[in-house]
Amino acid sequence: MRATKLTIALCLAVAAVMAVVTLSEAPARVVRGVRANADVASTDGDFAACQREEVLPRDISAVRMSVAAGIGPPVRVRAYSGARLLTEGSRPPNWTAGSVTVPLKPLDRNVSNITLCVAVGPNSDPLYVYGVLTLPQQAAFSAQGQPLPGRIGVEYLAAGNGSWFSRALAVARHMGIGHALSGSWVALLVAVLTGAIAVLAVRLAWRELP
Amino acid sequence: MSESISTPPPQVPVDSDSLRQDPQPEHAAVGETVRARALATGRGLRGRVGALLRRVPSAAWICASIAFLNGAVWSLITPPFQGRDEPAHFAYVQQLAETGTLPRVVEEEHSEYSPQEALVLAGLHQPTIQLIPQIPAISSIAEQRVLSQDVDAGLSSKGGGEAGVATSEPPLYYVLQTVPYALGANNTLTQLQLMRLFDALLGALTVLLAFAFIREVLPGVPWAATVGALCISLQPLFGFMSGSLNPEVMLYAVSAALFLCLARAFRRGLSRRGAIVLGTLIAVGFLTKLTFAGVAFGVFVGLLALGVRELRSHNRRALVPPALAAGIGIAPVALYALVNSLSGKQSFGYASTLGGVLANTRIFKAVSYIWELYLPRLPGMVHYFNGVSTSRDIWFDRIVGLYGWLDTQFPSWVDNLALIFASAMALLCVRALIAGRRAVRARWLELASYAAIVLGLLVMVGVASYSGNALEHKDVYVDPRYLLSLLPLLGVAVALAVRGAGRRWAPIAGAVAVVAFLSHDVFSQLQEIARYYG
Repeated sequence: MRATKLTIALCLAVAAVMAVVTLSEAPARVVRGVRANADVASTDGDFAACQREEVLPRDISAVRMSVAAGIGPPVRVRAYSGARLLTEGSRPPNWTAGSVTVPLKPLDRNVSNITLCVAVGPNSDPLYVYGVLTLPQQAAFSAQGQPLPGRIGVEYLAAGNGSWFSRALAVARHMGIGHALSGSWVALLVAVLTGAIAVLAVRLAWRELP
Repeated sequence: MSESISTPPPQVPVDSDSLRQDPQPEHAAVGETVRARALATGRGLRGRVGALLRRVPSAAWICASIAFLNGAVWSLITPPFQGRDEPAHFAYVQQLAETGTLPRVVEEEHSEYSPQEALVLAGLHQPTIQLIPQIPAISSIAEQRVLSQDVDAGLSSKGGGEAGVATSEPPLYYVLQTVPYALGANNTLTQLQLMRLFDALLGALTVLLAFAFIREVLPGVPWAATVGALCISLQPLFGFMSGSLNPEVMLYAVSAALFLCLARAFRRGLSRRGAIVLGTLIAVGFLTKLTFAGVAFGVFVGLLALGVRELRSHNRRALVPPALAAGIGIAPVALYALVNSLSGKQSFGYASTLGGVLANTRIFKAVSYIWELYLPRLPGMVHYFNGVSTSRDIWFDRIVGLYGWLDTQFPSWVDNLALIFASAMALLCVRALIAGRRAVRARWLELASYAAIVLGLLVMVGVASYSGNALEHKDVYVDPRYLLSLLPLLGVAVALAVRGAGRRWAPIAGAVAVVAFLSHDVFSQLQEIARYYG
């Protein structure tokens, strides 16, 4: 009985530490990029393309590409300065929805005139690439060198300025907008209900477990 | 059980602590006494229901309360109409409530939703937020003001007659949802919130029934059942679904009730009354959602197994209850087919269309697709899921966390961590099964029935995905929410795993499991908050 209670207390402490660590981190923010507004390509197979004249901001942690899939295949992103590989990153399969975020090794300075290449595959399901329409000479180009109708939507992400803790009030205000119940107190209600769930679950385990 | 005409359930050899069966369940005996007393005092049905509710252990009520609160929290976190297919399900309820008619496929050009719903969806920026994880929910006072005006605009609540992807679904769940819809006083957001809370109640009911099922299947160590039910009530995808408007949630409750009825039938025999309840539940399932056909397959296998067991004991009259249950269960489908045939439509509606599409395909391709949807590809099969390990990448990772409109996920390292935890639980579960192998062998018919339910559901999901993805070349749309009808089995697996840890470590394993599920739930909610409000 004592060991069980000790285990519960220890596990809760670990979970609390993980929560504090997570909420101490700064959420990612977009430091540079273009929002997609047009179809650029679609395929049922592998996809690979590059686009020139990208600028890689310093301290970026990830790049968000406007590529959509039901079951996203593996994605690899590489950034070149001339022929030299500057940074790269990859994302395992099973991303979904309208974009894929690929973590990148951060750089210590801004670098311009970059060629950014993305390779998606192996793939056998519908894949959609979005971006902005451009002239052929500015457009992304396929692995065979053929220009696409435009540039792929790319957003560069870096850590934000404040932690989740410092944004708590802003998040609470946001949670009170666009619901049947409006006002920041909705966030408080969520916190109270979640607390009640935790208390009920822990008390029940405390009581029932030998 | 006084009305049971079946032979007594076979005695299961007691060979281990982990799978021990109580020869005379204590609560059954108490129930008989309570029922007799209730009848004697003339309280009738009300008294019996009251007695039944009093028999429910307090731990079950607490687990159900947690499930309800969890669903309520998710309903507050998820922005309106960002639950999967919520606009379509809302449109179905609205069509029923406002016109008293079922949605239908309309050929002419029109909006899928009523002007009022379409306006609110626009005010919420719903189409631009769904599936695009970088676009948060509306955030400014100006947007809130516009939304309030949209909600109060008083436009028509009558649509063009369709209800999007929900159009072909059966009506029972939507009929029930017309009650919270009516209570919402013409305010679209209030109506949706009340409908979500109704689903949270269904979630609580699911956990209550799952608790009873786990106790019925594994009566030896009652507290392990509590751990299993507690983990179900804290499972975050289940919480997310219980907090959104979706007929799937009613299917979870119906499936949990069916699991319980089957477990009782295998353990205590199937009485006529039990058969009527079981048959009614099958009928309710058919009237709730088309995918129930997969679950129903397994339930019919279970009824067949019960019949075979009775035949073995040379008691032919005992075949009546299984036949009665099957007859009642299949009645709505037969009636539907008859009405359609008489009115010159396809006998099974949308299911006929699906059948027609599948009839024109090669069976090997369909089998290959369904196999690969869950298991590694075998030599000679077409490569349908290049670069993806479906069991790991689709099913496991997405059960770990895929919220919102399939657009909110954990980072990959969380999936890896969860895999370690799940593997440990699976090993403990296997250990418990090996330790109780004699009991497992003795109950193989019952276990085969549960396996048939799993198989039926997996094949049903696979067939639907094959039709859309491989034949019609649409996006792969596989969602682990379809598998949550099997939640009672997850509860049993957790309870078994805890017991598999051995007498000394079992309580500690139980404590770890409960806090792990609780933490998973809270972090999932934070993930959703970050996606929509961060």
